[in-house]
Amino acid sequence: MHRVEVLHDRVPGRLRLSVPCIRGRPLLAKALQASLPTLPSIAAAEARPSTGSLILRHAPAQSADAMLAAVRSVLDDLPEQRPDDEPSRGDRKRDGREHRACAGGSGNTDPERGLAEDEAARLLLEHGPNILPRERAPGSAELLAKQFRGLPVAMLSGSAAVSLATGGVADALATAAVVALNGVLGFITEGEAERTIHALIDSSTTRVCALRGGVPVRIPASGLVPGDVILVEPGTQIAADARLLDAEGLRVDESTLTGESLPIAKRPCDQAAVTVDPSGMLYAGTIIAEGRGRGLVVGTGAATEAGRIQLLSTGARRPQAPLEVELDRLGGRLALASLAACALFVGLGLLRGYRLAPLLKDAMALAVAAVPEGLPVVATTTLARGLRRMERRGILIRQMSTVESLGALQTMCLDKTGTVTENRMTVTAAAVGTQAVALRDRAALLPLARLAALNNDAVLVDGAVERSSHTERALLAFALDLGVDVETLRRRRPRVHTIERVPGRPWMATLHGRGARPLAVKGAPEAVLGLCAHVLEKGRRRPLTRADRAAILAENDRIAARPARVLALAEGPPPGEDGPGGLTFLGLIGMSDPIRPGAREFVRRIHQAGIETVLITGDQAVTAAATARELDLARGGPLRIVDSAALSEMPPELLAGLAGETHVFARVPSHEKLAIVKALQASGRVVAMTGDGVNDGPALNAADVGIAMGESGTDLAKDVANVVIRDDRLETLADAVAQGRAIYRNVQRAVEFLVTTNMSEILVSMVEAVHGPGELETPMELLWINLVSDVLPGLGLAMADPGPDVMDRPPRDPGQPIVPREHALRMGRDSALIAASALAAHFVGLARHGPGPITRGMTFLALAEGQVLYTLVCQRSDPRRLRPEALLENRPLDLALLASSALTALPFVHPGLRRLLGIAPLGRFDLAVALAAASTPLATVLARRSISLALAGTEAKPCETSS
Amino acid sequence: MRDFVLSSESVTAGHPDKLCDQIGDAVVDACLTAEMPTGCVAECAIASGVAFLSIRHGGPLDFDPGAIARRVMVEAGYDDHGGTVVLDIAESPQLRGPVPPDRMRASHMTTAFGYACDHNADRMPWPIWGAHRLAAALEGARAEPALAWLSPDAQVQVAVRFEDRRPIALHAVAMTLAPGVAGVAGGSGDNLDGVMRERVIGPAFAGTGLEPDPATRIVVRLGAHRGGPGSHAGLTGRKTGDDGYGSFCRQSGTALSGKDPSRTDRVAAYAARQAAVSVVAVGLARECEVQLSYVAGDRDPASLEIDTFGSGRVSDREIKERLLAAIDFGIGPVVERLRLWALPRRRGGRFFRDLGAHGQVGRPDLALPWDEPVALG
Repeated sequence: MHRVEVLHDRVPGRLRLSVPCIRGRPLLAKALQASLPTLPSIAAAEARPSTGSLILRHAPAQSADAMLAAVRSVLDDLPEQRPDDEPSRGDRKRDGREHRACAGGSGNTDPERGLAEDEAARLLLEHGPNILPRERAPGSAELLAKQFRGLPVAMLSGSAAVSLATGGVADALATAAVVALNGVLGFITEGEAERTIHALIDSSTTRVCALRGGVPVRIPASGLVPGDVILVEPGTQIAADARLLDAEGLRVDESTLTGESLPIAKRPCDQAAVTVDPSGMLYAGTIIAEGRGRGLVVGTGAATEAGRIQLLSTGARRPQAPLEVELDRLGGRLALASLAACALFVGLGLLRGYRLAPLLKDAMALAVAAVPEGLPVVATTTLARGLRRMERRGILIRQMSTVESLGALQTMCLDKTGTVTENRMTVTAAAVGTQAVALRDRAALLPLARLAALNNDAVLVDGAVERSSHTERALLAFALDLGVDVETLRRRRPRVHTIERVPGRPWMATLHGRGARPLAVKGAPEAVLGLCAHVLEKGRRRPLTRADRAAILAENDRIAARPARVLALAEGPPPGEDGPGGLTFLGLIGMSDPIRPGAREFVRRIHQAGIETVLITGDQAVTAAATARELDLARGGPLRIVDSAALSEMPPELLAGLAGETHVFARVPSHEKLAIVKALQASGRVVAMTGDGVNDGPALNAADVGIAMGESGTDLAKDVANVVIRDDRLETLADAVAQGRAIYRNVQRAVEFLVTTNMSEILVSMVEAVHGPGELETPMELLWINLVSDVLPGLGLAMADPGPDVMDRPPRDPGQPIVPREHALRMGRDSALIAASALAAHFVGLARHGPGPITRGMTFLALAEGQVLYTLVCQRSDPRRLRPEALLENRPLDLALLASSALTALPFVHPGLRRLLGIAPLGRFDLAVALAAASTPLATVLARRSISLALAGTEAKPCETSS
Repeated sequence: MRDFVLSSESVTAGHPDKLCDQIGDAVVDACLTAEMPTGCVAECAIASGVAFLSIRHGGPLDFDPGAIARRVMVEAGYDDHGGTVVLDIAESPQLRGPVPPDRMRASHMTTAFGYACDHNADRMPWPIWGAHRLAAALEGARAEPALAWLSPDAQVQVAVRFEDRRPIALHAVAMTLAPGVAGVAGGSGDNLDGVMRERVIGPAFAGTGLEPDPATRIVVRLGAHRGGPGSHAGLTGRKTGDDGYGSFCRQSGTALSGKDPSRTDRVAAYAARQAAVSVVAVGLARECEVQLSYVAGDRDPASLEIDTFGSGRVSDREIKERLLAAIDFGIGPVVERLRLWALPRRRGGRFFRDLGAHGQVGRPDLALPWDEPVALG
């Protein structure tokens, strides 16, 4: 019995235990740490061999005693290790990556049959669905609580407290009401937005292949339970942690987990072993790069390695998009600035000898003025609406940050197959021996076709060609077309051994029973030719001469240039020690996949938007060059092709340097696509990658924007990608980029509007406060402006459609802040303008009525309505591009302006609100003054635009379709 | 100055500069043997094991340039790692391919030099001739198991002592070798000079008339790096001395490799060589340098000038007149006479490529038309 004691248990759901037996025994500590989370009630464990302590995160419902018992039982199950078994420091085993051989209640799963359905159902109840914690939407309470955190709310609450202390009970109540209202409003809009986001993000319907009752079935990944036997093949994203039962050339991309970019070889460990080395484990979220295998699930959901990392790092929350983070920071910074201004203001006042209480009250008004309360609501709503709009157009966004990346996209990697082509591969040319042969010539082609049918992974289902890759299916269809009786042939000469095609071995060999030359080889022409010693021509086998080789390679080049993908076929004796050799060359088969209609136009549109395109293909350079020319990838200039089957062997700096200048990567094996994406990213680009799935997972995953085609793409691709184009149309893909740009631009405009108008409020308040006591606007007025009259126009700005020219300009600089430096100057100027206009109304009021409700009313009207009208200017980032006749084209914005104007007028007609805001109804002249002041900013900006355009002469003429 | 020592350099076919020349010329071969022959200019550079190949061509390409580059490297003795080739391809309509001889005009302003002499049967200056022999011997030596550690990449220099412009002694031989397998020098590190003298230098110069004697200085350097495209950079046209006469006569700086026969600088160099060979073959002089100038847009040369360095049986002026009388130096007729457009196809798709290493003139192994004298009436 191991001694385990509680050290600390104050925090629910968290325990610190003393486990003396792990002190100084890192291996045991690791094993314990790895095993504990496989228990359903334990979310995470951290064992510290240096102190002999163990930190647990567990379900709060579980008592400390139950936890102690659980830890003891796990310790008992761990193999007894003597301290001298422990490795010395510097042992290279990865931290905490050994796993118990088996977990959950089913250590006795039959690896050949898998779980029975009822057993699986029981285990599902016991362990819960296989869902990563981050997929959980934030709870309502959490969301509501969030609304009342943060500096702005704290400042408002402070303001209420100060009001209360200085006797302003009504003010305090009103402020409290505003805080509550703001919170509820935020809760509703944000809740709506979060629901939208999660609804979209959660729509992943990953399906996995598992053995249930002896039959392989496809079940949703969420239905996996410990004890299931899963089957994996290239491209599969592993859905749960599993111990390998058997593997065939299995290599796994674990970059999601470890950051290691090269696929790692996996092989099953000794099945009797209690702990399993990481090389015998498959981890959830990682992707099979090549090979096949079978695994026994040992951990699902939060109990997976990935789940643990999620839990520890993000606390089970949706990761925030960079934009949201930046907005939070911006809001915080503005609030801090206003606090500083308040402190300065109070300090000055005290020096002048004013009383503290009114001073504090004024300071709070200032603080309220400065905080852009509408910011988070506007930003979140914009993002959510954007996502929904994209979804309606068939663009499924699976990750928030993708929207921004789409908007900043600089390079789009196009996987040729499935994106640019129609995905209909057919055999279009062939050569037998050294001679080209017409596809009609059945007699000549028959030996080639027979071999193509034997050495082939595609299968016949009711006479239809299915499974495997396009190439394999095309070859099988070719054999069928020539009248080869595939089923009989395969029965007569069954496949007894396969040498798979792997990186560095661009051919596949199959050994078949019977026949003088039982080995069939199919692969890259040069490589296959290198294995050949003979050639079969006109039914006669003769030694392969140097001239024959040259003729075959020339024929290969000719077929490839059509363009077509060329494979060579050969047969020979069973492979010897050094693999196959001494083969007889049979011929070449060329296949092509037609370019989609509209692909060229799509490329043109993407180029027009300042986005580079990179074509990635496994084809030979000459084939790729023909395709690139068809698409006009080089825009009429020299075509730059990187022709390499070993990109990852290149010096990374060189590849990064080259990648940016390259139009086409040819002869790229699937697993090297990742190297291209990484190289492009290393040169500082925001990169998108399209893929059809099989083997594209790692690259899709690494790209800033991974794009899968919804109809033709495999499930695997759709699982990994963060953008899914449902209808497969390239137009939709271009649209996604336009939408991404528009969303970012809209948020940017809304933010600029809110910040500019807020600054104008600060200026007005400062001037009033300095000018004389009692002149200052009430906090309620400013709150009304920030929360009521400004939010709708902000939302209106955010709902603008992508303009017609959104795809006619280069992408924004991804490093640029949401408010670029060059905009800040204009914003400062405009906020001064709005403030000056409002102050003009203020001083007219002062002169006529002295400080009091009427003057305040005039200032309020001038300021609030001035801001509302100013929104019209904010429809363009560059005021010079404003066209007066198009100011009212954004219908939601127009409605927002009307509504906001009405809301601004409301306090004047409603006595209760009037009292709350501290204003009085205005006479005709005062009203005229205030409205004139309100329209001044808009008029001035428009006039300034005309003047600067006139001065700039013809050079800077706004373009007709301008945004 | 009639007495001097002159050294010439040659490199093996595996030297990156020469790999680039061969790749460029292999592309020319491929373009000229295409179903629809097209003109081209191909330039190549190699760095960090990556080949950069730039091709300007006139018609559709029906060959794989990347594969050509890799084949050249493999044939030179390097392993095929699926090596990377960076291609830069552009169609350039003026490179439209074979032009009828009567319509051919000089494409560039060109002054080319050709030379021939009686130092040996190949009518080449002794130092460069010896250097090429030595480089070839070194390539052959890699087949011996004891020397299989040699990298395909090596450089040799041969210095010859002349008296009255006649070679009289082998003054010095230098070789720069590289271990093809990192750190392995086949256990012959200490006695490398001796091994090279016995296995390579001796056989290379045997029976040439100038054999190494005890006074001949032999310097063999073994580089620390493995040599080849992974270790040092290469560029098309950086070995113009090796292509021609090894600094024995004046030479034009332009590269020959990678240019199709529409390029006057390449054609003029061959024409000048043929003129010089014709003079020496008929015995009009022991040695002869021909200077041939064309002005862009012209059919005929702007000038032909020769120098026999006082070895002529008749005056240089008379030799020149006989040359002009016997040979039409119009750019079209020269291309026609040398069959430059047709040779790649006639020789099974491989002609220019072999010029990319071991010199472009004085190559009995290639039976070059410009090494054949024209009868001077």
